[in-house]
Amino acid sequence: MVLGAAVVVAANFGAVRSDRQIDLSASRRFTLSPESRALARAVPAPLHITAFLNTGAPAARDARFLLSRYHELNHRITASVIDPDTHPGEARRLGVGHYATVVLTYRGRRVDAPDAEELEVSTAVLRLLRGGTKTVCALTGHGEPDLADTSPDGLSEAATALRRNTFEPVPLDLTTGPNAAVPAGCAAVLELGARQPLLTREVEALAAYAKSAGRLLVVASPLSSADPNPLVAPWGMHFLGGLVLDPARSQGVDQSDVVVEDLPSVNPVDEGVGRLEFPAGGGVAADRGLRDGLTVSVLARTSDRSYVAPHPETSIAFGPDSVPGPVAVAAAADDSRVEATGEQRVPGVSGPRVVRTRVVLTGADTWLTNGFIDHLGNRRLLLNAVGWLAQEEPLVAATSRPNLSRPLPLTPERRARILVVTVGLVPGAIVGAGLVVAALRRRAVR
Amino acid sequence: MKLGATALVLLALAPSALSACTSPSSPSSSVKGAGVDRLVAEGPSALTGISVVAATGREAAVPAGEWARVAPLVAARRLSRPEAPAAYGLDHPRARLVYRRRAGGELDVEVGADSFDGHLVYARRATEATVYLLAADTLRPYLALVGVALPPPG
Repeated sequence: MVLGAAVVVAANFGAVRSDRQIDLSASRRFTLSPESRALARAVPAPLHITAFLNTGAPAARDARFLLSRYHELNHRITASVIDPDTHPGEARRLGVGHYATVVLTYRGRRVDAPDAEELEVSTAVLRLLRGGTKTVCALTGHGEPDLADTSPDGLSEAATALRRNTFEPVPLDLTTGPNAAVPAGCAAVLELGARQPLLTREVEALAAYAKSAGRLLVVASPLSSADPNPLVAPWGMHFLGGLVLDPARSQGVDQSDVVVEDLPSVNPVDEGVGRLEFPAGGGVAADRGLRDGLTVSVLARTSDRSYVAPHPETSIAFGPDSVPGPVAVAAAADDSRVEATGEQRVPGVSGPRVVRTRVVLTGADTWLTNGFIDHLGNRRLLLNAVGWLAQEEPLVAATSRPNLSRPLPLTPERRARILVVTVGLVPGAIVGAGLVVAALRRRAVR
Repeated sequence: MKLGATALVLLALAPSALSACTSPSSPSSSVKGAGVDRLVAEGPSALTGISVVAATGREAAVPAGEWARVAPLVAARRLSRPEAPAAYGLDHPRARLVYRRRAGGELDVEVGADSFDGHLVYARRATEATVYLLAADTLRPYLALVGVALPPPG
């Protein structure tokens, strides 16, 4: 009894002296997300965070706790919580006019976050590190989902995610005007699910743009009549079309709602992406025998049991003309080449220059709509892809607010594993243990 | 013996319990402290008059029908550790609310600057150092009687 009490006392006083913490909450709400941790560690110079909150309210306590997590990861990040009612002069000095405003300063730059929440703070840190916003141009005019559409089929969530990560998506219409050309201000061009074919002048403009160090994200779909191959074929990739079906890894009974668990590439686009959900997608192929300087990475592929049904409108069963799995559903091309002229580092002298083209192709488009972007790692894939295309450092702000539900896709493969464990292994272990005990007793009786 | 052991265990657990008390609360959108503080506790029936006096000396009486709006005078917040009065415009108050008690005597409430967001106004009893915040909307019509403007929040 006394020994037990001594152990409890010693453990508690030992724990009080230690500042180590273990987050046992189901959603790990007291721990920064991996993205925020990476961001915090990447801060190379002093960054100060000032949160303006009523210091007597629970929100201020939560903010102190959150901001101390950043400081623990990187001591260059310091933080303070100021009560703007008690210290109105400080609030006025920084031009703060609303409660919960968070002011971040770094290398003479300043970014405000509207709330002392991890997503907002990390977004502001990322803005400071990047120092500015890059424009990404989303092609329109072919039935693409709208960036402002908040319905499940729209892209408003994708647009918001891009904005949080210092990319400003703007529509790009190449169908009209005297000459179709991608504006120089576009850090990347996004073709996010065309339903109708692009005009010849558009294809030519995009091909010319890609060739001169352009950056393209082509989100294709077998449900569309648009052919993405003229855009991606020069870069060692092809869209196969058809419908990818995966009897082993799909959501529910719909075998075309594919859960992608094989992300084989070391390309930064796959960084931090665990699994993807690609509904109603087509296959993608990476060419062999690529020219020097061009590399193509398969970013995501389905299971061995998957296949591409080439004519899903007539049959989705595996047939002689089906393409057997694993099937690539996303790929990235990186092409570096030297051109004879164009280098302008020395004024007046044009020397050889390195031209780099990057293209990302996905065989499905539904994955980035509002209805699916928060499924598995879809949101992170989009941010990684655009970041890689725009040649930003591989950092993203926390991709979304912590989700209280933690979905585990119950694919047929996983259901089979559960069956083996619950019906086979566990009862088997109990029976086995009983047999061992019985055998030992029998031996003891003898 | 059992009671003593229980007490020992509770004593041992105390540091953990204390540290648990400092863990973050549930997410909250509230930015205002709870609780009611009154600069003037008396209601209209305990008063014989309320007037407003601007720093310029201009004075006006609050109509008797409206006393209930400023008596009792409820604060939105009380500052627990205020800065110097100058930080809140209370070194040179722009107006005073004068409450005349039926029982005799007066109570002066000094009105200072707007809060950072313009929704509140700093105030204190003339005889005390405690600083309170009052809703600007409550005071705006009465301060206007003596030419003191409280601009609406931006």
